[in-house]
Amino acid sequence: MSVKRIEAVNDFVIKFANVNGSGSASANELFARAFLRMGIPVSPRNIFPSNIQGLPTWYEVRVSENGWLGRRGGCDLMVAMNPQTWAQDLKEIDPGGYLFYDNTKPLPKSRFREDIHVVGMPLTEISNSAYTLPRERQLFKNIIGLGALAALIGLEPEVIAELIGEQYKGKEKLLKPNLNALQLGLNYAREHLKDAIGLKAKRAYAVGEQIFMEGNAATALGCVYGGATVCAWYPITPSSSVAEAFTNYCSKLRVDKDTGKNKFAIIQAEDELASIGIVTGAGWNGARAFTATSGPGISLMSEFIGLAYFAEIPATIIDVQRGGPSTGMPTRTQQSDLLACAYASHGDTKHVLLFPEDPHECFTMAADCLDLAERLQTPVFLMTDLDIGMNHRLCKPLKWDDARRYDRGKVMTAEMLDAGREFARYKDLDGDGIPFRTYPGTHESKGAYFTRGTSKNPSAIYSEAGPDYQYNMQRLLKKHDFAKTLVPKPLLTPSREPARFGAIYYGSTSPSMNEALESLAQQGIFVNALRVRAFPFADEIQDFVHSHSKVFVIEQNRDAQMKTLLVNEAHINPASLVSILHYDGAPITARFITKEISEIAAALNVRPIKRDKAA
Amino acid sequence: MSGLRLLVLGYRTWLIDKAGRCALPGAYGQAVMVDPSSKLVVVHAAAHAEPRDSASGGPQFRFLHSTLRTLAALSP
Repeated sequence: MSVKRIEAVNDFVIKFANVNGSGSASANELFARAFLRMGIPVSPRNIFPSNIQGLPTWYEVRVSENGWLGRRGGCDLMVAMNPQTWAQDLKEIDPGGYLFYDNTKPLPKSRFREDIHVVGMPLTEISNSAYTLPRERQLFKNIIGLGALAALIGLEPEVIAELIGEQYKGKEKLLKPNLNALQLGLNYAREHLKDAIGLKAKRAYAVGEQIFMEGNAATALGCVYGGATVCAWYPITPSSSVAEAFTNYCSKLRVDKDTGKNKFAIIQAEDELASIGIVTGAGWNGARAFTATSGPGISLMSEFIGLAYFAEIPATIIDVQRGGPSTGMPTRTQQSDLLACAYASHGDTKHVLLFPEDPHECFTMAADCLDLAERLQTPVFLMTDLDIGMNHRLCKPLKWDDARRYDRGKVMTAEMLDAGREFARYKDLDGDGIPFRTYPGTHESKGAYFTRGTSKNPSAIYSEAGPDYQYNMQRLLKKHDFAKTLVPKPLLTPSREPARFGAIYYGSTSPSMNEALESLAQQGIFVNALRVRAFPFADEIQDFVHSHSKVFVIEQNRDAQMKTLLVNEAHINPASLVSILHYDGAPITARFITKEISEIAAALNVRPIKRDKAA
Repeated sequence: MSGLRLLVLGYRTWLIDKAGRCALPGAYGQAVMVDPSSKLVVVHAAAHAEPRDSASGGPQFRFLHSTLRTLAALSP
């Protein structure tokens, strides 16, 4: 029986199954970057364990000239280098796909599948023949494999050599053996594995001006441009690299050229409680401050978040979400902190959340959060996740308008106080629920107030009177409602035919959703899609739901947290919403979304619109 | 009406992308599209027989959709 062969040019998924700590990361990244240098968009994803060494790790590369940057699902070529996950890895290969493995030690036929193509290469043998030191043998085996894959897929060797040259610039001793290893792989594949794989890379011009960066780095840069001068944090995966990147950027961009003094304060605190305490204190004092954390950190910060909410102190909180609850899956992705953040802390609280889709929005929205926190005098959350934060992603170049000025919100100055302006710290003077504040020390005799977490009257005087408390709580609610006029509006992707169905999605689901919408349209299932970018919700969301017979809400958590928020806060009838939930810790795939929507559409007894009939 | 719902009526400005491209669909087939980058405003003033007319709405929808996509592709 002949086995079908997947043939594809610039549109496939390759997955590397490795052992953590085996030095594969560098070779894998070289592989992904080689496509970019050839003008072919790629979207790599690291799927890694939470221990340091030994457990399985995967690196999945979506190659797509069409620019689909989400996970597609399935795998066309598995580079299986980890015996521990062999069976699981084999299962993932699409029928007609390819398995590339080290056949130094032959495996029985029973260990393979009959509906895939097996490409074996004695990587260990070649590496052991060429190198003597055990560490070299291990590391160069990866580069030999890279060379072979380059030959098999058609990656230009000059491109990889150039990338290796850049990687080892200034370390010439390492450059030559790496190039040598690359050549060993190329030579072997050219001689023994000719045309073994039907997946081909062909130079294209589809990358354009896009940049390739991690979301956490973009978030940190957004904080720099957004004017943050204080960062207090406690390390936690997957958020730590936000603070680390902020430190690096500040050391380059925020040091006084004349005095050499730092114009920033970065404090690695003893825990998350201290971190948010420092941020709240800095915000109270007039500094733009943020912390970066993940779900467990949010739990620990909850008490201080409530204080900042009730005392109305600006604070920006970057939540790079991971799998919960508890310690959960520290190195896997999820969108499962929505409710925890929307209602963080005890009592009646509601917070502003922003949902970036990629590094570009991590950059812009981090700066927006700092503005919103001061404008609204409240904690504001940037709800990113591991998938965006810790993976390199192609995105639009980051741009900053130098004419943009920080929105410091309602700050009463000494001049305003001297001019006789009324100051009552918790009084709504103009109907938007936001009171004026003063910075400490603004005036020698006016504008001072007592900051407290207990209830107070509009003039910040301690009060347990019911009417005072209710006035304050209603004003806070009004402020939250007003926030929806300030936060980023949802973005509509209209389908190319009139559609019965709508879809609501957010954050890192975006790239897979884009591909799923196209796949569904090809099946004749047309869906209008609305990407929610913030909470509180814009009024457009209600209109969107009311305009469709059913609206799918796609999210990466078990409990349909966005749906819950939509029902509770936008007063949407739950019967009009259909949840599509993905929560295995890996990023959602286009195939998953397509399958779920098409099956539900079929169950709703909907016949696809045929394009020829609609035309 | 065939039961086919057309996209969203009602007093809203719908952002299509982060470049600020937006659409204002209205009743009876009225629609406005704005493309800030090319300073183009498309106004569709033709009236359909019904506030939501799926028969006439289909071709109009495709026209608006194609125009927006083309503008997005042409923008720098």
